Amino acid sequence: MRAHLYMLGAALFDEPRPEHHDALRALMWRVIYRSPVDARWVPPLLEIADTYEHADELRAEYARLFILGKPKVLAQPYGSYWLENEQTLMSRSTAEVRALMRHHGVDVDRRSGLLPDHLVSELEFMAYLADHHALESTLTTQATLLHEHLAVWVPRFAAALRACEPPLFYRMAAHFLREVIAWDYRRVPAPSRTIAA
Amino acid sequence: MKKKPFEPSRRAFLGGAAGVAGLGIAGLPSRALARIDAPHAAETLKPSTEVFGFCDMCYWRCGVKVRVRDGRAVKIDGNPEHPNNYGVVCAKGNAGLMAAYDPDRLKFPMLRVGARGEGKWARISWDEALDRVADGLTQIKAKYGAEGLAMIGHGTWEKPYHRLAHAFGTPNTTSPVFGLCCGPRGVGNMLVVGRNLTGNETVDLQNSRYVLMLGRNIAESLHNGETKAWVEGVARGAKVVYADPRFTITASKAQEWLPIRPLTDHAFLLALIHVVIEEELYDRDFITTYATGLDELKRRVARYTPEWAEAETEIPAATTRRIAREMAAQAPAVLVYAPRRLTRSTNDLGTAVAISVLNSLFGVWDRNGGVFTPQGFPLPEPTLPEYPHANAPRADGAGDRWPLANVDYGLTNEMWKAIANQQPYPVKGLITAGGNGFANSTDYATVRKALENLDFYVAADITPNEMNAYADILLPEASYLERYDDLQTGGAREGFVAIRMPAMAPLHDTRDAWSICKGIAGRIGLGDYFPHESVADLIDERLRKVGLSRAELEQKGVITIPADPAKNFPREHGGTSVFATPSGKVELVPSGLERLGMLDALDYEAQVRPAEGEFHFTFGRIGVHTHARTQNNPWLADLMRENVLWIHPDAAAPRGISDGDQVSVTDRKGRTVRLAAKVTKRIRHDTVFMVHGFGHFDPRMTTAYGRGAADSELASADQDQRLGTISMGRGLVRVEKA
Repeated sequence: MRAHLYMLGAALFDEPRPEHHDALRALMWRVIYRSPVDARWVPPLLEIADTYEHADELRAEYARLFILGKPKVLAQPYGSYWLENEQTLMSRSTAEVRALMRHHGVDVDRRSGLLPDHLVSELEFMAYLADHHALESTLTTQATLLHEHLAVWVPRFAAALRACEPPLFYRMAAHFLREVIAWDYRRVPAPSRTIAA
Repeated sequence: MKKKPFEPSRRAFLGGAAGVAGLGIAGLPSRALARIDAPHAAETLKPSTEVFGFCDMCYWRCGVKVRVRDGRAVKIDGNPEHPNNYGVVCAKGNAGLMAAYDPDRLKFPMLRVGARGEGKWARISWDEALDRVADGLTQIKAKYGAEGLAMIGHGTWEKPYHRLAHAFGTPNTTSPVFGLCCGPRGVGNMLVVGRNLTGNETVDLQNSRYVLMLGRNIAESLHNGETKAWVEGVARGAKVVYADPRFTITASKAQEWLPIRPLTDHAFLLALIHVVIEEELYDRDFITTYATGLDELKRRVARYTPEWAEAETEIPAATTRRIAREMAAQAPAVLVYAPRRLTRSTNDLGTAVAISVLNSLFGVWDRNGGVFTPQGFPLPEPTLPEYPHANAPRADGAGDRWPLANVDYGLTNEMWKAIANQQPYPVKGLITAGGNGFANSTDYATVRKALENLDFYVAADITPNEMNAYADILLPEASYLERYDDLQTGGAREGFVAIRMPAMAPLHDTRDAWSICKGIAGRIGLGDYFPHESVADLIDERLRKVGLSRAELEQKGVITIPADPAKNFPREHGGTSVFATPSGKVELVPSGLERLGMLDALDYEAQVRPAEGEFHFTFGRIGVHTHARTQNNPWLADLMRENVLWIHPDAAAPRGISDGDQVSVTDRKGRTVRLAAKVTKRIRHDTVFMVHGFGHFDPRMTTAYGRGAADSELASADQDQRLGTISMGRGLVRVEKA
């Protein structure tokens, strides 16, 4: 379940493409059906799962919100932007995430154009780790990624996104992600090791 | 609620590149991740590696070495072997990392989906972007001919775009370097001595005994090698006389500051020439052997006495005479150092010629402490098919209506006008490679009209800006830390070839200029002009032809031909000087001007004077920023976030202006900017000044947006009518407390 939650988060914040439309809707419905009845991430999904249609307008909104803003990108989808004082990319926290990825045998695919701490990359990595939860070694990494990265910067990112007056789809996507991370944060213990700031 | 079955088709779902790599997560294909061959052990600190390059933060192009750790560039140092800087790197060079890590960067190819300039975009793939560019260019050619396309580039990576445009068949390629910057200086030297002497000047500053600097603010334009040599010269006892309406950092290091009235450098130079000739202070042997035109020059400058000049320049006649004599006493180890940007007045040509003439009278060529002959590094360009013959003259008139204008760089200022007015013929397509027409030109209205006139505009750049906001297609360039570029060859005492290596893989979905241009060329049938697989291949071929290899060059980043005093300073070693003028001599009265009927450029042309209550408007450089390129760099913004208006206390007081007050600055056209005042005695009372490059109005430049004021909004758009270059210094403004 956790793996699908994180994969859905990644899919929601990936660039909308017509060829992904049906699969994204299907994944939303899967999560809705498999979630506990009181799961707080379900209501925002219900708001968009049935009405989600890929449209050029959504694609332009994605660009406005996350790539080339109008007037500017307020919700930068990169961890280092929110975690480091200088609000730049490819900082130490980016290297930390990349090191974690490589430790588990994966890395960002260069062809994706994404950085290791792009929201989509981190959520997919979290999904990957959750999918391999049977491996003891993934547990510490999940805790680190969640407690020291995602749970720290995603709420800030989501708050910034709200300030951009996003369309319903991204309002609900942010709501969904916030709830998933808050839920997971409560259930995954903090790592015993702390990455040096 | 309509229920949908879960059908996670691997083909239909995210299906990104990583899907190809076969990484599945919870039964779904990954979009972002790929499996790597060998999982790395968790490490706290890996050893760093070093790669070499040359800096792109200004146009001096210092050699750098970049430390890399965990696939990230983490520190930039100077390359001690590189003749442009011998290991020194400035604040701008250090901050180059932030050019790559700026969150505002252009990250993906983008398609305009709203009205032009509206700011509505959609991300597209490189294939789609290049297909669309190819289609757009093809349509331009079909409708308007090849000449319907213009290419404006600014930076080390503009070269392949020039090649693409030439192969396309348009004559309309241009760069601001001539019409908006150094053009007159190069022309002046070519006319008098047949040497370009622009770019990285071949001046022997460290051995000079006397340097007269005309607004050459060397300590703040901060080109490392040049500044270092000048400081060495000063430390060895060289006298520096610095003429500028403003007391700059350079002035503070000089023995003498001449607060010359703006735009009157030519008058000062003519008076110096007058004294040198009248008092026969010139290098008689050199002039007799190498020069022509002394008698005519003497006749022409007879009226330009120091007393006459004093009324123009406000430099006392006695001072002018003294300086002429002092320089003659130290000649030939002296230099009249030209401004780097010499686009100020309506007769910059005359000023440039006068500088070259005065240097010649002192016999500085090929002498210690004067100007040396550089050694190049012969490195053949690849063999390419001949470019098609352009079917139209250049739209900017370079080489035609403006016969002295350099046809390689053209007149960017005139190109904007041609696009705006669609004269002399329609130019409806535009490629820009870097640059910013708003910030480096002087006429927003013309640039805006030009951009709005276009049928098709493709912009390649690192960051968004006011100009590329108008593009139909935005192509994100890899920064100079993420790519190979064509080789840097230099002419200094040493000849050298230097390499730019990628310190890391291109971030986001960015590409280098060569790959972009090759991709476009291949789609429009011009692939033969880009025969190399990559720019690395191109480098390999060029080096192979001279018996070198990339691996060799990557050892130290640069390979040099040792300095050879006999070649650099032949007249110190029994050799002779060569001057590539039509006569083969130093032409004190250039035949090139006579042929064009432009000898009146040698005469003084009075410039503007402020009316009561007005100021001369001046602008210039600072050590921590380059032009309008670096204001969005977070590290450099920490050093200087916005510019201020320098104004003399005697001018500020009657206006009720105190240091730090907001003021409005308005020119005669009614254009107004606002910024804070810096009340200082370090400027003439009739002149105001601001650092260039601020006042960005594109909110996507989140660090620079709205900071300070744009000098380009106020600078004059008058022209040198012989060269076509811009006379930016002729702006006159009023200042009020806001």
